[in-house]
Amino acid sequence: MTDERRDETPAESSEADTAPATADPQAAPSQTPAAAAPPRRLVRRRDGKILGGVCTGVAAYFGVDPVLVRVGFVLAAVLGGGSGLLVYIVMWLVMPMAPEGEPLPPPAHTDWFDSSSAWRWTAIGLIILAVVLLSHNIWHFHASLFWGLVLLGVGVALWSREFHGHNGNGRSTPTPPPPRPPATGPIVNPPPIPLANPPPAAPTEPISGGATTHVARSTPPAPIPSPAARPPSVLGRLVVGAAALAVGIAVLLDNLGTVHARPRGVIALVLFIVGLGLIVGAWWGRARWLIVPGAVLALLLAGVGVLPTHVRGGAGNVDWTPATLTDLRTQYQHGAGNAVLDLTNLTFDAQPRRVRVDLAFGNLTVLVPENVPVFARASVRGGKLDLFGRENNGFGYVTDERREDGDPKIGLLTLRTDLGFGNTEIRRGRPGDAARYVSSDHVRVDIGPGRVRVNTP
Amino acid sequence: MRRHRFDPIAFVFGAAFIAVSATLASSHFAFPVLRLRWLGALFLLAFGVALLITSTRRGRDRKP
Repeated sequence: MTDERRDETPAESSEADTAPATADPQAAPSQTPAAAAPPRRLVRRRDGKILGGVCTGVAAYFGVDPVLVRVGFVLAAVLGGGSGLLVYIVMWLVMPMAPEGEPLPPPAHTDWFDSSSAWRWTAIGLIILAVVLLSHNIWHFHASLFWGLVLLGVGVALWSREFHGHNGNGRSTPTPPPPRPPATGPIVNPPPIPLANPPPAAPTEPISGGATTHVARSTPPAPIPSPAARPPSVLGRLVVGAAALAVGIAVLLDNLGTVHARPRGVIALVLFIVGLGLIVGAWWGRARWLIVPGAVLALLLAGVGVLPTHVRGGAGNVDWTPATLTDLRTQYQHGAGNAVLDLTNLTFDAQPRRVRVDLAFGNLTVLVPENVPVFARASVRGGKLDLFGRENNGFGYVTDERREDGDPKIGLLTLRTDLGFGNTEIRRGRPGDAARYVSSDHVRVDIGPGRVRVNTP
Repeated sequence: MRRHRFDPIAFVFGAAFIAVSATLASSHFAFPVLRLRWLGALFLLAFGVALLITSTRRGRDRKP
């Protein structure tokens, strides 16, 4: 019988053979580690999920706040050209859903400095990224300044570590250990502790001979304190209610003709209330989840402002190359992609001409012959604008205009471009220069007398 | 609602949302100073500082 038990559960039987009746509870964690920690699996989780539970699953796997994972996905979706959204969808499809009631795994991060090192290094990385971004805005940037700031950040982090008593000699007041349980009674498994290192389970079965073993409880393992249960905050409901009231009042006033409620204004109003709720939540109540809808609203607001509403056209790269003046249109429009308008093949006459180009997303390049007088007015709602070598960039309604002289016998070419998000470049050029801007996947549109030829790669 | 210790992450995001709403709500958001590079960089800087504060707090609270 003893041999059978030894074959089935070697760890348990080994403990049965060696453990005394008064087992040392401090040694128990190292003896039965597998019995305490649930298996670490990257699964989606229902608790606290908003969409598919991907962020909560990733956060539980790495032991970080789900809000940070969500913010990371949103940033990757915006700054990474939608990659964050694609990764989220793939993970949603690939990751299985955890069964209900499955306890959270213990944090997996390495103890670089202390238990909160992952947060700290994330913060340092963000600060370095910010410094890099800021450095591009400094007129005279010196590398020594950048590395000085990096060293400064690392120094502050290390100083903070020492100041807060990593080695136990800091000035911070240590948190007193929680009270110990009563001194008698059988050892039982402690309840699962969410988002904390659960203490290993003590043996609940009889150690030997089927007799219940009572051990002295004078020195039980100190349980890791669990986060105190927070009472539900009404701040989130207050914010949602205030936002609904504000939108309702705005729509009512719009119907009454008192005000004109534009979509951009309504979204901005809701975003303002969400931001106000978060500011209040910094001191009273808890409503961090408002960060996620706030980020969505901010993106939506930016999108409403960036997108030109009058643009018609498809997607893909396009190259407009009118061969003669009769082929020159007064308006060119495209939806998304890189567009090149090459006017260098044209021989302009004394007649003034107007050309307008609209593009929603992408890079727009307009090449103008060197001898043509031009008055160009270009707008970019988000991105860079290069108007005959004069650069503007930023986010907002960036507009610039410039007049370039040419042959006085040639009529003035008035050029107007409007781009939603991307880069616009208007410059002088010669026939053939457009090849530098046209990639292999451009659709080349040649319009000649009696013909429209579309060359696809 | 109960008063609690200052939450810098909620404060940073709240301030950023208010700034974005006030900036983009105007009909001509041609603020030369408030541009994406500056706003994004300043937001990341504030967010990083907030994370430092919260992580330091968390590490301090978990010390036995």
